[in-house]
Amino acid sequence: MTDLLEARDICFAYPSVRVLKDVSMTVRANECHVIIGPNGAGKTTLFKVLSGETLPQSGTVRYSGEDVTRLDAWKRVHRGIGRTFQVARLFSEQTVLNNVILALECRENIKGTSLGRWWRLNPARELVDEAMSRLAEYGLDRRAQDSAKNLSHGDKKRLELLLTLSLHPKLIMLDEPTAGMAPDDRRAVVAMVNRLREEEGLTLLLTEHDMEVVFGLATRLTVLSQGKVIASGEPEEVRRDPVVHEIYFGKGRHHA
Amino acid sequence: MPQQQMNPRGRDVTPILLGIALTVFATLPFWAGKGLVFLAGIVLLQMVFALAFNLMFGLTGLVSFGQAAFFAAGAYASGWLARMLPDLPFFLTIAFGGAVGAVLSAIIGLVALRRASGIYFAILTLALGQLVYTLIGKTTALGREDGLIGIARPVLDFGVFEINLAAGDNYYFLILTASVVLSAILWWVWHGNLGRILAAIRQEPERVRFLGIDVRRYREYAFIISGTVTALAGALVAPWSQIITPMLAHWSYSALPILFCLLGGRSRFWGPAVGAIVFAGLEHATRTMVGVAELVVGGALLIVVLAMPGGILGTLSALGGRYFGTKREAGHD
Repeated sequence: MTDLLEARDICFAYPSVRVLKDVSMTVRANECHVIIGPNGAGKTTLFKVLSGETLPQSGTVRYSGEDVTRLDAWKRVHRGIGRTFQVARLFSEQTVLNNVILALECRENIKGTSLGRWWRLNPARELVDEAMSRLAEYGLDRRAQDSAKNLSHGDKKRLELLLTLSLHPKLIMLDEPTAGMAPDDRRAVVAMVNRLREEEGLTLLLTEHDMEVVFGLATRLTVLSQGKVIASGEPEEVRRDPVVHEIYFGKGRHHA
Repeated sequence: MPQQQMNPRGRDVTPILLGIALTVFATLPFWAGKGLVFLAGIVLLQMVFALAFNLMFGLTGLVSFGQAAFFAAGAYASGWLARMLPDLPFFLTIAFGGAVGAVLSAIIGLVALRRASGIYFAILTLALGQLVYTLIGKTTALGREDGLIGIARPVLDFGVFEINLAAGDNYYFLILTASVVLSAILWWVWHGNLGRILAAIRQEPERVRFLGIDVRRYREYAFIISGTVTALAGALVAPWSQIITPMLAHWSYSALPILFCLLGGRSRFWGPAVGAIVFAGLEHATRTMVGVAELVVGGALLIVVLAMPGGILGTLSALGGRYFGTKREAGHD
């Protein structure tokens, strides 16, 4: 397997606190890599650095061999990185359908086709049809005309993932995809992520709290604690690591 | 339309209001006095000013406090050029005003949009706008504090026929036509693909960024389109009022479109136009009440802004929707 995303010696600090200390990690193509760690370990900050939302003070991020450390987020999106947020970010005043149409128009805009030109008054018929069929695929077609803000928590997350997938990314970063979800919804996320990896060949990078979810989908784990990588490897390997056990699983709160 | 939530119970009253307004403006010179026609010409251009402003405010979510700078830039640029080169075709002087507005808004946008969030952007645009105001007031070629006076309304030469803009109400009809054309362009931007992306940027800029869009560039587009159309409106005002002063660039003039947007309703395209008309109507109605005029206008504004969060057009549409909704239902019985 080839390395798709590589972080090397990432340091990031807010004025009063160092959040990431020499963090290095590698995401290989077609794996489901999960970053775990206690609250405040720096998972979300690492996500921000990897996706281009913020710049690290030092260290490098490489994607497909290219140094993207200083590249703005939207350019990384053009190269095939997509992401979702802990709290789904949607166009909440608009209908579910219009959310998807907009994502598709952005995709056409990136590709430079006539479907995404600024003077288009109405979205192209084929994009509307595509949006509807995508919604049907994700079980959201019955909600197509509802305002996005009226969706349930789980449906909002599903819609955000759908928006991200509309751009056909190679690597998807999901920040706490099951946070606040009911067990059934969580299992659905695990099934979906596994399907994306196995059937569509996507590479996934996640942060996740729920250990059942983590061991249900991870092919590799990186454990962060206080801004440092304390372990990484295959799930079973990490589970047996005494240091990890001590500071993470040992407390019993997140026992698998 | 995607970014407007129409009242599901009835129909939108906007087309009806638009039809009435257009009829009134188009027939005004035939039944109203000269004073009112002059005022109507100013109101039309202020409407365009406010509609252009709302492309940033209501659609993209940027609150600029320096838009008057572009209005003044257009007025001064075309007025200055018309005096320097009196034989130049009229449309070229207007286009020059628009071009100066485009360049100026591109420059100011590049500086101010480094901080697009709320108060920083507002203060930066305010400061840059006041800078333009000061520069105009200190430039001898632009008449310093006295401004430019006696800007001519020229004769349009179309080869086979001529239109003398100085005669009768010809210039008024030119303003009306230009306002319709400029509003149509803004309407297209607001409701089209670009408008959809700008509205998305207002709602959730990070999501748009992660859909592969350079958010800053799109904000800059909105800023330039708005600045250019505003400058064109300013260029058209110069021959109408025949005198332009640095006050056109003053921050208090920048507050005008904000007022119109809040008054008429900023979430709808035509909201600022309604605001401009209502505001002018209030001012006109209270013009003889020396001393209390400002109080009446201010009080009325306060009531509207506090009692109608959606502005006049938002409230009217909700009411109209109800009215037409029940009427149609009754018809079915």
